[in-house]
Amino acid sequence: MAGAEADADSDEELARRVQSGDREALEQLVRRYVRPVHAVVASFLPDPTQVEDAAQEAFLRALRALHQYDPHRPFAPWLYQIARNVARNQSAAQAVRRTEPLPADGPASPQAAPDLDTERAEIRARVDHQVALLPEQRRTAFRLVDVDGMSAEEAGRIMGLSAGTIRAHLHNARKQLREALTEYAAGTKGHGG
Amino acid sequence: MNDEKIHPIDPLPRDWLPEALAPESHAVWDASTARVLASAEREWSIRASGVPGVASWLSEMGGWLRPVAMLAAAAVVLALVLTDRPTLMAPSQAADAMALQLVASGGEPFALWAALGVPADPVLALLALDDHSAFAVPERATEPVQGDPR
Repeated sequence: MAGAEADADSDEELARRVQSGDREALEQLVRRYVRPVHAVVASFLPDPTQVEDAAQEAFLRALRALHQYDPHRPFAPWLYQIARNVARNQSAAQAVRRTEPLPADGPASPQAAPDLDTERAEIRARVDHQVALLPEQRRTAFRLVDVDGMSAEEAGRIMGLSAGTIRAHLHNARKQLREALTEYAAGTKGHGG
Repeated sequence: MNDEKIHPIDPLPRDWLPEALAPESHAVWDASTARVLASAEREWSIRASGVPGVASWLSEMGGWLRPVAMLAAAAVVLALVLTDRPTLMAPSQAADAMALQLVASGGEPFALWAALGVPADPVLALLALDDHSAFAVPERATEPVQGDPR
Protein backbone atom coordinates (compact mmCIF):
# COMPACT_ATOMS: atom_id res chain seq x y z
CA MET A 1 0.00 0.00 0.00
CA ALA A 2 1.20 3.51 -0.70
CA GLY A 3 1.25 4.25 3.02
CA ALA A 4 4.49 2.31 3.26
CA GLU A 5 6.33 4.62 0.87
CA ALA A 6 9.08 6.42 2.71
CA ASP A 7 8.80 9.68 0.80
CA ALA A 8 5.00 9.88 0.91
CA ASP A 9 3.14 11.84 3.53
CA SER A 10 2.05 9.72 6.42
CA ASP A 11 -1.62 8.82 6.73
CA GLU A 12 -1.83 10.92 9.86
CA GLU A 13 -0.30 13.97 8.15
CA LEU A 14 -2.71 13.59 5.23
CA ALA A 15 -5.64 13.25 7.64
CA ARG A 16 -4.51 16.41 9.45
CA ARG A 17 -4.41 18.25 6.13
CA VAL A 18 -7.88 16.97 5.23
CA GLN A 19 -9.09 18.30 8.58
CA SER A 20 -7.96 21.76 7.48
CA GLY A 21 -9.80 21.43 4.16
CA ASP A 22 -7.09 20.08 1.82
CA ARG A 23 -8.91 18.25 -1.00
CA GLU A 24 -5.69 16.93 -2.54
CA ALA A 25 -4.81 15.24 0.73
CA LEU A 26 -8.25 13.68 0.79
CA GLU A 27 -7.73 12.24 -2.68
CA GLN A 28 -4.39 10.76 -1.67
CA LEU A 29 -5.89 9.23 1.43
CA VAL A 30 -8.84 7.74 -0.46
CA ARG A 31 -6.56 6.31 -3.18
CA ARG A 32 -4.39 4.79 -0.49
CA TYR A 33 -7.24 3.11 1.34
CA VAL A 34 -9.86 2.40 -1.31
CA ARG A 35 -8.80 -1.23 -1.79
CA PRO A 36 -8.21 -2.07 1.91
CA VAL A 37 -11.58 -0.60 2.85
CA HIS A 38 -13.25 -2.70 0.15
CA ALA A 39 -11.41 -5.76 1.46
CA VAL A 40 -12.51 -5.15 5.04
CA VAL A 41 -16.11 -4.60 3.98
CA ALA A 42 -16.00 -7.70 1.74
CA SER A 43 -15.19 -9.82 4.78
CA PHE A 44 -18.71 -9.00 6.03
CA LEU A 45 -20.68 -8.73 2.81
CA PRO A 46 -20.48 -11.34 0.06
CA ASP A 47 -22.34 -9.31 -2.60
CA PRO A 48 -19.92 -7.05 -4.59
CA THR A 49 -22.54 -4.32 -5.12
CA GLN A 50 -23.13 -4.17 -1.38
CA VAL A 51 -19.38 -4.02 -0.87
CA GLU A 52 -19.09 -1.00 -3.15
CA ASP A 53 -21.97 0.81 -1.43
CA ALA A 54 -20.66 0.04 2.03
CA ALA A 55 -17.14 1.17 1.14
CA GLN A 56 -18.47 4.49 -0.18
CA GLU A 57 -20.53 4.91 2.96
CA ALA A 58 -17.51 4.13 5.13
CA PHE A 59 -15.44 6.84 3.46
CA LEU A 60 -18.23 9.38 3.79
CA ARG A 61 -18.71 8.59 7.47
CA ALA A 62 -14.99 8.87 8.00
CA LEU A 63 -15.01 12.27 6.33
CA ARG A 64 -17.89 13.43 8.50
CA ALA A 65 -16.16 12.19 11.64
CA LEU A 66 -12.70 13.38 10.69
CA HIS A 67 -12.89 16.38 13.02
CA GLN A 68 -12.94 13.85 15.89
CA TYR A 69 -9.84 12.03 14.66
CA ASP A 70 -6.65 12.63 16.64
CA PRO A 71 -3.71 12.79 14.19
CA HIS A 72 -1.41 11.53 16.93
CA ARG A 73 -3.07 8.13 16.69
CA PRO A 74 -2.73 5.71 13.76
CA PHE A 75 -5.17 6.52 10.99
CA ALA A 76 -5.62 3.05 9.46
CA PRO A 77 -7.22 1.34 12.49
CA TRP A 78 -9.50 4.35 12.95
CA LEU A 79 -10.72 4.02 9.37
CA TYR A 80 -10.91 0.25 9.77
CA GLN A 81 -13.27 0.60 12.74
CA ILE A 82 -15.58 2.84 10.73
CA ALA A 83 -15.58 0.47 7.74
CA ARG A 84 -16.16 -2.47 10.06
CA ASN A 85 -19.14 -0.78 11.74
CA VAL A 86 -20.73 0.17 8.42
CA ALA A 87 -20.27 -3.34 7.04
CA ARG A 88 -21.47 -4.98 10.23
CA ASN A 89 -24.66 -2.89 10.24
CA GLN A 90 -25.38 -3.67 6.60
CA SER A 91 -24.67 -7.33 7.20
CA ALA A 92 -27.07 -7.38 10.14
CA ALA A 93 -29.75 -5.66 8.06
CA GLN A 94 -29.17 -8.19 5.29
CA ALA A 95 -29.42 -11.09 7.77
CA VAL A 96 -32.80 -9.82 8.88
CA ARG A 97 -34.02 -9.68 5.29
CA ARG A 98 -32.58 -13.08 4.40
CA THR A 99 -35.30 -15.70 4.31
CA GLU A 100 -33.46 -18.74 3.02
CA PRO A 101 -30.14 -19.45 4.72
CA LEU A 102 -27.74 -22.11 3.49
CA PRO A 103 -28.40 -25.53 4.98
CA ALA A 104 -26.26 -26.28 8.02
CA ASP A 105 -24.47 -29.15 6.29
CA GLY A 106 -23.79 -27.04 3.15
CA PRO A 107 -24.05 -28.21 -0.44
CA ALA A 108 -23.87 -31.83 -1.54
CA SER A 109 -20.72 -33.90 -1.19
CA PRO A 110 -18.12 -33.92 -4.03
CA GLN A 111 -19.06 -37.48 -5.05
CA ALA A 112 -22.53 -36.25 -5.99
CA ALA A 113 -21.15 -33.69 -8.48
CA PRO A 114 -19.17 -35.27 -11.25
CA ASP A 115 -18.76 -32.11 -13.36
CA LEU A 116 -15.59 -30.16 -12.39
CA ASP A 117 -17.15 -26.68 -12.59
CA THR A 118 -20.15 -27.78 -10.61
CA GLU A 119 -17.90 -29.32 -8.02
CA ARG A 120 -15.81 -26.18 -7.81
CA ALA A 121 -18.93 -24.05 -7.43
CA GLU A 122 -20.12 -26.30 -4.67
CA ILE A 123 -16.82 -26.15 -2.88
CA ARG A 124 -16.82 -22.37 -3.14
CA ALA A 125 -20.33 -22.14 -1.78
CA ARG A 126 -19.30 -24.39 1.07
CA VAL A 127 -16.19 -22.32 1.73
CA ASP A 128 -18.19 -19.08 1.63
CA HIS A 129 -20.59 -20.55 4.13
CA GLN A 130 -17.80 -21.68 6.44
CA VAL A 131 -15.92 -18.38 6.11
CA ALA A 132 -19.06 -16.55 7.17
CA LEU A 133 -19.07 -18.66 10.35
CA LEU A 134 -15.54 -17.59 11.35
CA PRO A 135 -15.18 -15.12 14.23
CA GLU A 136 -15.02 -11.55 12.99
CA GLN A 137 -11.30 -10.74 13.30
CA ARG A 138 -10.30 -14.19 12.10
CA ARG A 139 -12.53 -13.77 9.07
CA THR A 140 -11.18 -10.30 8.24
CA ALA A 141 -7.57 -11.44 8.60
CA PHE A 142 -8.35 -14.40 6.34
CA ARG A 143 -9.98 -12.12 3.77
CA LEU A 144 -7.16 -9.54 3.74
CA VAL A 145 -4.30 -12.05 3.56
CA ASP A 146 -5.48 -15.30 2.00
CA VAL A 147 -8.09 -13.88 -0.35
CA ASP A 148 -6.81 -10.41 -1.24
CA GLY A 149 -3.12 -11.13 -0.95
CA MET A 150 -1.98 -8.60 1.66
CA SER A 151 0.95 -9.38 3.90
CA ALA A 152 0.34 -10.12 7.58
CA GLU A 153 2.14 -6.87 8.42
CA GLU A 154 -0.11 -4.83 6.15
CA ALA A 155 -3.27 -6.48 7.47
CA GLY A 156 -2.06 -5.90 11.01
CA ARG A 157 -1.41 -2.22 10.32
CA ILE A 158 -4.92 -1.80 8.96
CA MET A 159 -6.62 -3.72 11.75
CA GLY A 160 -4.47 -2.24 14.50
CA LEU A 161 -3.00 -5.65 15.40
CA SER A 162 0.50 -7.10 15.34
CA ALA A 163 1.60 -9.26 12.42
CA GLY A 164 1.93 -12.16 14.87
CA THR A 165 -1.70 -11.82 15.89
CA ILE A 166 -2.73 -11.76 12.24
CA ARG A 167 -0.76 -14.97 11.66
CA ALA A 168 -2.46 -16.56 14.63
CA HIS A 169 -5.84 -15.59 13.22
CA LEU A 170 -4.83 -17.04 9.85
CA HIS A 171 -3.68 -20.26 11.45
CA ASN A 172 -6.95 -20.68 13.28
CA ALA A 173 -9.04 -19.70 10.26
CA ARG A 174 -7.31 -22.20 7.95
CA LYS A 175 -7.56 -24.92 10.58
CA GLN A 176 -11.24 -24.26 11.16
CA LEU A 177 -11.98 -24.19 7.43
CA ARG A 178 -10.02 -27.36 6.69
CA GLU A 179 -11.78 -29.18 9.50
CA ALA A 180 -15.14 -28.06 8.18
CA LEU A 181 -14.21 -29.10 4.64
CA THR A 182 -12.62 -32.41 5.52
CA GLU A 183 -13.95 -34.34 2.55
CA TYR A 184 -12.56 -31.72 0.17
CA ALA A 185 -9.38 -30.94 2.09
CA ALA A 186 -8.36 -34.62 2.07
CA GLY A 187 -7.86 -34.34 -1.68
CA THR A 188 -5.73 -31.20 -1.49
CA LYS A 189 -2.68 -32.48 0.38
CA GLY A 190 -0.74 -31.86 -2.80
CA HIS A 191 -1.69 -28.16 -2.56
CA GLY A 192 -0.01 -28.14 0.81
CA GLY A 193 -1.88 -28.83 4.00
CA MET B 1 6.41 -15.08 17.32
CA ASN B 2 7.79 -18.15 15.60
CA ASP B 3 6.37 -18.32 12.08
CA GLU B 4 7.04 -22.06 11.72
CA LYS B 5 4.93 -22.75 14.79
CA ILE B 6 2.17 -20.30 14.12
CA HIS B 7 1.89 -20.82 10.37
CA PRO B 8 2.01 -24.54 9.75
CA ILE B 9 -1.27 -24.79 7.88
CA ASP B 10 -1.11 -23.88 4.21
CA PRO B 11 -3.76 -21.68 2.66
CA LEU B 12 -6.74 -23.31 1.02
CA PRO B 13 -6.45 -23.81 -2.75
CA ARG B 14 -6.96 -20.50 -4.54
CA ASP B 15 -9.86 -21.74 -6.65
CA TRP B 16 -11.80 -22.58 -3.50
CA LEU B 17 -11.65 -19.06 -2.19
CA PRO B 18 -13.93 -16.10 -2.95
CA GLU B 19 -12.94 -13.82 -5.83
CA ALA B 20 -10.09 -11.56 -4.83
CA LEU B 21 -10.41 -7.82 -5.26
CA ALA B 22 -8.76 -6.30 -8.32
CA PRO B 23 -5.06 -5.47 -7.91
CA GLU B 24 -4.19 -2.06 -6.57
CA SER B 25 -3.18 -0.70 -9.96
CA HIS B 26 -6.49 -1.65 -11.58
CA ALA B 27 -8.66 1.07 -13.11
CA VAL B 28 -11.62 -0.02 -10.99
CA TRP B 29 -10.03 1.74 -8.03
CA ASP B 30 -9.76 5.00 -9.98
CA ALA B 31 -13.49 4.85 -10.59
CA SER B 32 -14.20 3.99 -6.97
CA THR B 33 -11.95 6.79 -5.75
CA ALA B 34 -13.71 9.22 -8.09
CA ARG B 35 -17.08 8.22 -6.67
CA VAL B 36 -15.91 8.72 -3.10
CA LEU B 37 -14.43 12.11 -3.98
CA ALA B 38 -17.61 13.20 -5.75
CA SER B 39 -19.66 12.34 -2.66
CA ALA B 40 -17.08 14.02 -0.44
CA GLU B 41 -17.19 17.11 -2.64
CA ARG B 42 -20.95 17.36 -2.22
CA GLU B 43 -20.51 17.01 1.52
CA TRP B 44 -17.84 19.68 1.53
CA SER B 45 -19.90 22.04 -0.62
CA ILE B 46 -22.81 21.76 1.77
CA ARG B 47 -20.56 22.63 4.68
CA ALA B 48 -18.81 25.45 2.84
CA SER B 49 -22.05 27.05 1.62
CA GLY B 50 -23.22 27.22 5.20
CA VAL B 51 -26.56 25.53 4.58
CA PRO B 52 -27.56 25.00 8.15
CA GLY B 53 -28.14 21.58 9.55
CA VAL B 54 -30.47 21.04 12.47
CA ALA B 55 -27.79 21.89 15.04
CA SER B 56 -26.68 25.08 13.36
CA TRP B 57 -30.31 26.09 12.77
CA LEU B 58 -31.02 25.75 16.47
CA SER B 59 -27.87 27.65 17.27
CA GLU B 60 -28.92 30.47 14.96
CA MET B 61 -32.41 30.56 16.44
CA GLY B 62 -30.83 30.71 19.88
CA GLY B 63 -28.82 33.72 18.79
CA TRP B 64 -32.01 35.49 17.75
CA LEU B 65 -34.10 34.37 20.70
CA ARG B 66 -31.63 35.25 23.44
CA PRO B 67 -31.94 39.07 23.15
CA VAL B 68 -35.69 38.77 22.65
CA ALA B 69 -35.97 36.70 25.82
CA MET B 70 -33.85 39.19 27.73
CA LEU B 71 -36.00 42.08 26.54
CA ALA B 72 -39.16 40.24 27.56
CA ALA B 73 -37.75 39.52 31.01
CA ALA B 74 -36.78 43.17 31.43
CA ALA B 75 -40.27 44.24 30.40
CA VAL B 76 -41.87 41.95 32.98
CA VAL B 77 -39.59 43.28 35.73
CA LEU B 78 -40.35 46.87 34.78
CA ALA B 79 -44.07 46.18 34.75
CA LEU B 80 -43.88 44.71 38.24
CA VAL B 81 -41.83 47.61 39.55
CA LEU B 82 -43.93 50.36 38.00
CA THR B 83 -47.44 48.94 38.17
CA ASP B 84 -48.03 46.03 40.47
CA ARG B 85 -45.55 46.72 43.19
CA PRO B 86 -47.60 49.32 45.20
CA THR B 87 -50.69 47.11 45.14
CA LEU B 88 -48.77 44.00 46.06
CA MET B 89 -46.56 45.55 48.71
CA ALA B 90 -48.78 48.20 50.34
CA PRO B 91 -50.58 46.28 53.13
CA SER B 92 -47.57 44.67 54.68
CA GLN B 93 -45.45 47.75 54.15
CA ALA B 94 -48.01 50.02 55.90
CA ALA B 95 -48.36 47.65 58.83
CA ASP B 96 -44.58 47.43 59.19
CA ALA B 97 -44.25 51.19 59.02
CA MET B 98 -46.95 51.78 61.66
CA ALA B 99 -45.44 49.26 64.03
CA LEU B 100 -42.03 50.82 63.64
CA GLN B 101 -43.41 54.31 64.23
CA LEU B 102 -45.30 53.20 67.33
CA VAL B 103 -42.15 51.67 68.74
CA ALA B 104 -40.12 54.72 67.74
CA SER B 105 -42.60 57.12 69.35
CA GLY B 106 -41.50 55.86 72.76
CA GLY B 107 -44.87 56.91 74.19
CA GLU B 108 -44.39 60.53 73.20
CA PRO B 109 -47.96 61.84 72.44
CA PHE B 110 -47.28 63.73 69.27
CA ALA B 111 -45.28 60.93 67.72
CA LEU B 112 -47.90 58.45 68.85
CA TRP B 113 -50.70 60.35 67.09
CA ALA B 114 -48.54 60.75 64.06
CA ALA B 115 -47.92 56.97 64.01
CA LEU B 116 -51.66 56.44 63.96
CA GLY B 117 -51.95 58.82 61.06
CA VAL B 118 -53.52 61.71 62.99
CA PRO B 119 -51.84 65.06 62.42
CA ALA B 120 -51.82 66.70 65.81
CA ASP B 121 -50.48 69.77 67.42
CA PRO B 122 -47.85 68.78 70.00
CA VAL B 123 -49.50 70.68 72.83
CA LEU B 124 -53.04 69.60 72.02
CA ALA B 125 -51.91 66.02 71.63
CA LEU B 126 -50.43 66.12 75.11
CA LEU B 127 -53.56 67.70 76.54
CA ALA B 128 -55.74 65.11 74.87
CA LEU B 129 -53.81 62.28 76.40
CA ASP B 130 -53.76 63.95 79.83
CA ASP B 131 -57.51 64.59 79.72
CA HIS B 132 -58.87 61.34 81.12
CA SER B 133 -62.43 62.41 80.67
CA ALA B 134 -61.90 62.55 76.89
CA PHE B 135 -61.31 58.80 76.86
CA ALA B 136 -63.45 57.75 79.86
CA VAL B 137 -66.82 59.17 78.82
CA PRO B 138 -68.27 56.05 77.18
CA GLU B 139 -67.25 53.79 80.07
CA ARG B 140 -68.63 56.14 82.69
CA ALA B 141 -71.97 56.22 80.92
CA THR B 142 -72.55 52.54 81.58
CA GLU B 143 -70.41 51.81 84.61
CA PRO B 144 -69.81 54.64 87.06
CA VAL B 145 -66.39 54.74 88.62
CA GLN B 146 -66.21 55.14 92.35
CA GLY B 147 -64.82 58.39 93.58
CA ASP B 148 -66.13 60.32 90.59
CA PRO B 149 -66.62 63.99 91.74
CA ARG B 150 -69.95 64.12 89.94
